[in-house]
Amino acid sequence: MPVIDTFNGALTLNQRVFTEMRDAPDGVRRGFLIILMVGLLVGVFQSASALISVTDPERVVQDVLFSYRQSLEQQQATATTAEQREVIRLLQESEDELAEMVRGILAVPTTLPRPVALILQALGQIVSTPLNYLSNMLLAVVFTHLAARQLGGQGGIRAMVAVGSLSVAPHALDALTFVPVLSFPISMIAWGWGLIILISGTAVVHRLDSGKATLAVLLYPSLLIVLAVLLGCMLGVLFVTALAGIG
Amino acid sequence: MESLAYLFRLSTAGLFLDTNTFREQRDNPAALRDGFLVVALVGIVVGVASLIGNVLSALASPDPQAILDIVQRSIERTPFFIELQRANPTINLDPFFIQLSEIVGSTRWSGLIGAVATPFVYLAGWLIYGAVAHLAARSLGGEGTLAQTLGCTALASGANLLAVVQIVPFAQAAGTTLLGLIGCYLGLRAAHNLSAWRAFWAALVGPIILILLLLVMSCGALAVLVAALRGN
Repeated sequence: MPVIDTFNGALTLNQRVFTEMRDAPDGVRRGFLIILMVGLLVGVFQSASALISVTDPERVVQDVLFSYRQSLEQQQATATTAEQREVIRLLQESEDELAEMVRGILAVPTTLPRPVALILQALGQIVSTPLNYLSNMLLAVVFTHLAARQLGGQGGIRAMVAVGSLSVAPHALDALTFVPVLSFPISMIAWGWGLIILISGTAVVHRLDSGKATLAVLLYPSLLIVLAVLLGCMLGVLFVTALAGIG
Repeated sequence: MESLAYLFRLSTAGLFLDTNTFREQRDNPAALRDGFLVVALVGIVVGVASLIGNVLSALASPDPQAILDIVQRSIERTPFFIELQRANPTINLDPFFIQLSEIVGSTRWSGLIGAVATPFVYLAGWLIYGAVAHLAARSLGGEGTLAQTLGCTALASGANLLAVVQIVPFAQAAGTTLLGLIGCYLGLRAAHNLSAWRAFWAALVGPIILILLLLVMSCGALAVLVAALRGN
């Protein structure tokens, strides 16, 4: 089956495509090809967008200043003492120096001409994007596979990697995240769609019903979230106890 | 000597988790020799790619010392720092930035050294991991020989082929460790005829020992640091 058909089949949750990927001896290679295709597409759009903003140094300066102001506003909201407010005021007055510093850094020459250096940076971002998707997919697949086996699943890790690769297909939408207003909703749609594909794929690979497949996908991430919350609470209690001790 | 095409086929089979090739490698009388050549080949290819990428990155990056100078001058001109200096005239950023320059200077060639060392690091990692995984697999009821273990786990180093992207400056390789571990799991399963869970634990014993060692060493270093601070 051509890669583009596999891609379309994954997006439409075509069970035949999932079964074919599970049983195909070259399933992993085809899965990685889909990740490569999606990653390069997203990488090209994102790095082109970054390249356009970097070519205008004043835009970079304004972006940095925007983040700086936002950070100071957040600190101002939580400042409780007169000393803290004074420090924030002084930092606000230091804005011009910060802008000059960014302009200075952007003007430092490189051995290669600046346009060549910028293109090389964009190329680096483009080729790194598929590997980022691959890394995230592998992490999700390994935890899902472990949970699925514990829940009585019978599939192998090779088939799980092949079918799990299909969950990257909806992330082609990430290519549009350079549009500021659309960035968050598009990311969420791609993530949710990928999750549904992973659940369907897990059910096919491990021959589980959809309830168990959903549990397999969500089990370890949920446990990690609970653990993180518990750890956060424990650290909070320790911090309060330490403060009380100082008081 | 095996042909480069054959070794390349073995490494890509490891990259794409081809279980049939893992089984063939188990029954290969020259599994250890072929495994050694696969790891060395992958190491050399990645090392050369990384070397080229590092040189191009250095040519496309501004001088770090020039950036540090700009940062120091800018901080010294801020109203915040001027106010700080008015309250405490002895305050001086020079020692901090001199130290930072030394750190930046010492790390300048670390990328190149790392690239040259890549084949040796891969070979050492393969031999140590293979020996630990072999002991774990045998204690869990595995039937394979050390040569079969090393021959099969060598294919997993094919995952490192992904790091060839480092030939492009500023590119970051990701996912190689996890994919390599999955390859080792498949290799151990094939070499020792182990069940899925036993192969899983045999594959993870090495990394778990490594993490525990790092934790113990970090705690030791922290204890030494605290003791030194208390002494001061």
